[in-house]
Amino acid sequence: MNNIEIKNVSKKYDGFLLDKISFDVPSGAIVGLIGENGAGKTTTIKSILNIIKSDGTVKIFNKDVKQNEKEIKQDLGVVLDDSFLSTYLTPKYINSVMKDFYKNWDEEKYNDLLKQFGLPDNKLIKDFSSGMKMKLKIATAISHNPKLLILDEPTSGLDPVVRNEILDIFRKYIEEDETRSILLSSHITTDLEHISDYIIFIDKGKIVLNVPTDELLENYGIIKCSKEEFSKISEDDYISYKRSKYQYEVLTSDKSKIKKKYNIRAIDKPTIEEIMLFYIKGER
Amino acid sequence: MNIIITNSSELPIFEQIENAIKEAIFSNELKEGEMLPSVRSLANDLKISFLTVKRAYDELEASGFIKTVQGKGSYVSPKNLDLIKEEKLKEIQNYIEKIYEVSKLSNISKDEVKELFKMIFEEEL
Amino acid sequence: MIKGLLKKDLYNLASYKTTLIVIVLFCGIAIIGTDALYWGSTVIGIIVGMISLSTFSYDEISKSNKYILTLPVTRKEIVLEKYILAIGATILGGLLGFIVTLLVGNVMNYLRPDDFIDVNIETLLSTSIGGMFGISLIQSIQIPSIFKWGAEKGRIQMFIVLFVLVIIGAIAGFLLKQAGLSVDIEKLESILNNFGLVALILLSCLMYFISYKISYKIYKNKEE
Repeated sequence: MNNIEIKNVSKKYDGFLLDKISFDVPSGAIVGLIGENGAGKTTTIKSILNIIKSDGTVKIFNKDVKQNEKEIKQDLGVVLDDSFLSTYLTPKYINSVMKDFYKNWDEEKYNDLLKQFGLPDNKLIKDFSSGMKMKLKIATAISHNPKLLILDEPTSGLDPVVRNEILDIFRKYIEEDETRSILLSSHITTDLEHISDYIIFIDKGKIVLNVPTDELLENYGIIKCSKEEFSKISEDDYISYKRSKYQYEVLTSDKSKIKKKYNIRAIDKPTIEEIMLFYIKGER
Repeated sequence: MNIIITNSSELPIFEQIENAIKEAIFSNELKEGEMLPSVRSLANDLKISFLTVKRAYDELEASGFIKTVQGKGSYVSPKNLDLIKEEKLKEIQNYIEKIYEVSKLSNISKDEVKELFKMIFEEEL
Repeated sequence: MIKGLLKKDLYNLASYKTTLIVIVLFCGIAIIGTDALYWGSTVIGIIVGMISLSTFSYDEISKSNKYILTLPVTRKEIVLEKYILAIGATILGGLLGFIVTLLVGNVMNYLRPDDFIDVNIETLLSTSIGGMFGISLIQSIQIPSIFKWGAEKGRIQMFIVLFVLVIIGAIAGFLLKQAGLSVDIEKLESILNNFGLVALILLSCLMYFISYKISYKIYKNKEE
């Protein structure tokens, strides 16, 4: 079962093209969307939410978003990095407004979350710190117990402690009901390394990589070798390489194969960030 | 139960989990019929992907250590002595392979190694 | 769902309420001792009616539009809610203008019995409804333009619209004068009082309806 299925979603802007994006968000999974700023993460999320009109099909809970928008959105929790209901309200008013939108709005849960996150319910949101604002947005997004959570850059601009707290909220949310899913975008790849089950990497409007996170961390490797050693490696066995004065660094998606085939010892475990850089900056 | 995961290990993370659970079963820390943590909750606690945990559980099930009931969870299988013996033999084989390697590298003869073996085993008796 | 949107806008406006009370009081005081007693009702009506448009500015500052589209509401409901709010504000403004002016007139008569003003309910009614018509005209032009260009640019639009209306009025007046016709205020008032008020109300409704259709067409395809 997939909670989101998107096929051939395209969107054209001046000087930017989201080019036939297709991927799934399986039920029970946390999917991380990574990519540089302007790579198309937000455009993808806006297309899924039908905030912008794009080509292709988006299905949420097996239903077409364009046809069943209102019904689907009852079971959807959304956090956008720069947009919220109103900054001139207090958390208390947010509760009063939201219970008119969502059939399943759980006032008790919302108030518990406010307490748990240490948020005052009588202060205007515009006077909140950015970490508090994000926690409030998340509390608001999960208080109607949605089946799917979509978050655009939920950790950007926050300090490491708050970021970790937020990741823990996501873990708890998905543990409560294992048919739930989360789709989140971030350019902070370390966050996604620790939380996502699948990584989708978007670059210049295209998906360049869509793999399980553990595969990325276990199977991918960075070979450090000399020019001579590099010349022996077949082009089919690596993704891209970077050369410096003293060594070649080569990214492979199957390090155990490389180890056996070429008898190379120095293969490092890469981080997602390093992998991303190899895709963007590496040579082929 | 302790599950210690390190990135510096040569072993993939799913294998590290697998070994830790086996260890717990051998030492009787995880008893027969006892329920294992759910895939998601273990993944959350270890801050890793649930797919990694799932793979470890799948391997454990394939080798007969645990049993997964759809929709309920995974349980420790009844103790199978053959299975344990096999596992332990594998472990011993690993050590012997190491001994072999060291003896080869340092030119120590087979007889000398045998002598050592005898000594240790007899000492015990 | 519309209830939720209305609540959001009303809570936003709550921070405005002090300003609103001050304005109404100020207008009430300002019309004391002037001959323009009846105009008070028009001015109060227009000010209160215009305030509903400031909810667009609140949405813009909070960047709410994008978020609202992620909630279980349709675009139709989002547009409709703004019209409900606008019409509500217009009615409230008209009532408030009527009541405040009536009160001020009577209080003045009580304080200065020798300088008696005849507070004519009928005239008051026509100036109030005239004010409501004015504000419904402004709202009907304004709301679609805000949906199209946003609240900040829409504000500039409004001044252009008002300016154009004034110019057209001036030119029309000038032409009428040139043609040797003069506008007889009293005649106009009697026409209004006889059947014009109902016509004005109907005309307002028609304007709102057309404006709503245009706004929906604009917002249906809008990308936030």
